[in-house]
Amino acid sequence: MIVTGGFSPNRDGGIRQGSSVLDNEAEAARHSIITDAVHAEGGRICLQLLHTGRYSYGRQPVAPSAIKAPINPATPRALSDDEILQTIADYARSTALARQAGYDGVEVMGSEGYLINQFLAPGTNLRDDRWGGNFENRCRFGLEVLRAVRAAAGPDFILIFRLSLLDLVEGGSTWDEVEAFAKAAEGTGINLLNTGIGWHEARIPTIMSSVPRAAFSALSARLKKVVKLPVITSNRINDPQVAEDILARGDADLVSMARPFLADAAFVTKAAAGRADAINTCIACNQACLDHIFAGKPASCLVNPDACREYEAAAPATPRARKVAVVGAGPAGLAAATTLAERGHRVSLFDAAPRIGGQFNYACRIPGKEDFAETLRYFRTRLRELEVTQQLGRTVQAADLAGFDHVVVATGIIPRRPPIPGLDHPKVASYIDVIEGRHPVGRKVALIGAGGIGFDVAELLTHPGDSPDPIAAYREEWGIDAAYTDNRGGLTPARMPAPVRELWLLQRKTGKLGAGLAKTTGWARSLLLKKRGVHMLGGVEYVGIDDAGLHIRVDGQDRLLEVDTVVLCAGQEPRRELAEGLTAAGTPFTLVGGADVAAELDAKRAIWQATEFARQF
Amino acid sequence: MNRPLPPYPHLLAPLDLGFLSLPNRVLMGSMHTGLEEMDHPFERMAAFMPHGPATASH
Repeated sequence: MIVTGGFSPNRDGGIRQGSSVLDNEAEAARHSIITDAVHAEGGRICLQLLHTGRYSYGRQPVAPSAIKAPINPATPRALSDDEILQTIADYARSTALARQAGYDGVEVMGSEGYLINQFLAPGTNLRDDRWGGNFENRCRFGLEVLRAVRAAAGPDFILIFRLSLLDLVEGGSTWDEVEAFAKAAEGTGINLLNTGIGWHEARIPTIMSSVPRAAFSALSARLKKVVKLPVITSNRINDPQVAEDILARGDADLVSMARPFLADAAFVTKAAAGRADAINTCIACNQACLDHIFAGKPASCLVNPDACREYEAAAPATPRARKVAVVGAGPAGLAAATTLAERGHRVSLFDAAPRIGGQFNYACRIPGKEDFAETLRYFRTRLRELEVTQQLGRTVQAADLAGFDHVVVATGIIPRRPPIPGLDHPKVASYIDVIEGRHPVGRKVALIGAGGIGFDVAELLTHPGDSPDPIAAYREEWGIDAAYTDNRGGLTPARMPAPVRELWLLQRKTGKLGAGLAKTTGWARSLLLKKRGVHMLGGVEYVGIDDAGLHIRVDGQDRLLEVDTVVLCAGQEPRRELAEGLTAAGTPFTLVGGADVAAELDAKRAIWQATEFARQF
Repeated sequence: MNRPLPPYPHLLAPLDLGFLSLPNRVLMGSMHTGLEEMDHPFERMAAFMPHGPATASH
C-alpha cells in the first residue's frame, strides 16, 4: 500500500505558501489521475493529511502555543478554541474529499513533531484550556481529529494514525503517554498504527546511513505488546530479508519503506520473484532526495537517476547498436556500462583493479556507509544480467581500444598531493591507503582537508570498533533511552566510548568546518566528531611535516601538532591520461565522473552524468 | 511435485482488515517529492507511484 506525501487540511498547515492542500472539490478531482493509476494496477493508496503547525514556513505558522521551533525563524501564533475546532473540521472535510478522490484511506500524520505532536507534548503545549494543561487535555486534539476523520470517512475506509514512538526532544512524550495515546487512538476507529521516530528538530540522526538498519523495530515491538491493531514499523529498512525478519520476530505487522522505493520502485516485485540481488538498495545518503527538497528542488535518487522522473520519456532502445568500451568501473563507469547495455549497445567494461567499484570500495569501509557495498552488488548483478563483457585487473591503453566505436573514459581520480614540505615523510599517508588499511595509523593523527573525505576518514579513525550490538552502540553514542527510564522524549546523556585516537581535522578555509557538507546529514556528522573530541581547525596554513609532527600556522600563531600520522584528504585531480591517447588515436570518447570533473568527489554527479550520456548515446 | 516456498513469506503475506485485504505487509511510506510543485503535478505523481506488482500481490 502507498501513502502519499502530506496534504494539509487547510492553508495554515502547509509547509510553505502554495504547498499541497486538499480543501476543495476541484483539487480532489485532480487526484483521480493518481488513484485511478494505482487501482488500475491492483494497488491501494492512502492520502496523508499533514498539518505542519509551528514548522510551517508560510506567512504565519499556528500551534497550540506561541513557542518558536528551533528550526523555524518564525514564532507561531496560538490557535483559539474556535480555530482548533475549525482545524478538526478541516481534517474531516479533507477526509471526505480524499474518499471522493478515490483514495482507499487516509493517514493522519502524528509524528515528526508536527501539529498533533505539538499538542501532545508538554514542551510545546502550555495551554490552560481544554486543549492543554494535563495529559488528557493534550491528547484531545489528536483524538478529536481521529474521531472526526472516521466520522467523515465512513466505516469502510482505511484510517492510519502515525504515532511518534520516540520524540527525541526535551519536553516530549513519555513512554507511558505514547502507550496511552496509542490505546486511546485505537478506540477512535483507526485501522492501523504507523510509527515514527524523532521530531524534525531533534539533534539525533534517525534515518541517515549511519543509523543501523531497523534501529527502532524493538520499540515497535514494545508498542505491539499493548495494542490490538496492526503496527507498522519504519526507519532504515532497506532490504527484504531485514523486513522479513522484523515481521517473523513479531516486532511489527507491516514494514514501511520510503526512500528504498526511490532507489528501486520494483523493490517488492524483485523480492517476490526471488531476485533480491537485483534490488537497487537505498544507501540512506539523502543526497538527492531530502537534500534536494531542502534546497527547493524536486527529489530524485543518487543511485537511481530515474526516480521521480517517471513522467518523462524513458530512454529508447538504440536504433544502432555500437561497440562501446567503458574504461573504469567506479560509479560513473558502472552507470554508463549498464545503461548502454540496457539500450542494446555491445559493452565492454574495463578496470585496472581486480574488482568493480572505484571510490565506492573505499566509501563502504567507512563506518556508517556499509550500504554503499549494496550498490556494487546491484551493479554486479546488472552487469551479469545484461551480459556486459568485463575485463577487470587490466589496465588499458588507447591502442587496446582501437576496435571500439566509442570509449567512455570513467577512469576517476587520483588524490591530490598538496605542496607541503615533508610530504614524503613516512608518517604521511593518502586517504586511500588509510581506508584500505595499508598504512598504519598512530594514536595521534592530523587530517589535511576537511571535505567529505576528511569527515569520512575522521569517522573511520575515531570509530570505537565494531560493537556486537550496533543498535545499542548507536543509542549510547547519541543519548537515546529507548527504555524511557526517567525522562521525556526518550533522551538520556550520551555515553561516549573511550576515545581510540586524538585527531585534528584541518582545513585551509577559515570558518566552520563541515559548512560544505550535505544539508540533512552534515550536522550529524559534524556533531558526532565533536562528541568524540575531534579538534577542528580552520584557517590553517601547512608549514611542514617532520619527525616532530605537523607544523601549522593558525591566526598568525605557529603550532606543532605532535602527531604520529598525517593523512592527506586534500582533494583530487582527474585521472584522464587515456583521453590524451584516444585523442591522438582519433578514437571518439566521452569523459564522465571524476575523470571529467574531480573538484569535490560527487557520486551523484558521476552516476547521473554517466547515465544521462548513456541514455542518449 | 512440491513447489518451493515463496520468498519472504511474512513480507508477502496479505493482511485482512475486514472490509478489505492488503496484498502484502509493505507500506510505501509518505515522502515529499516536490512533484506537487512542478508542472503536470498529478500526472507526475501518478507516474511516480510504483506500479501494481510493487504494491499488490504478485
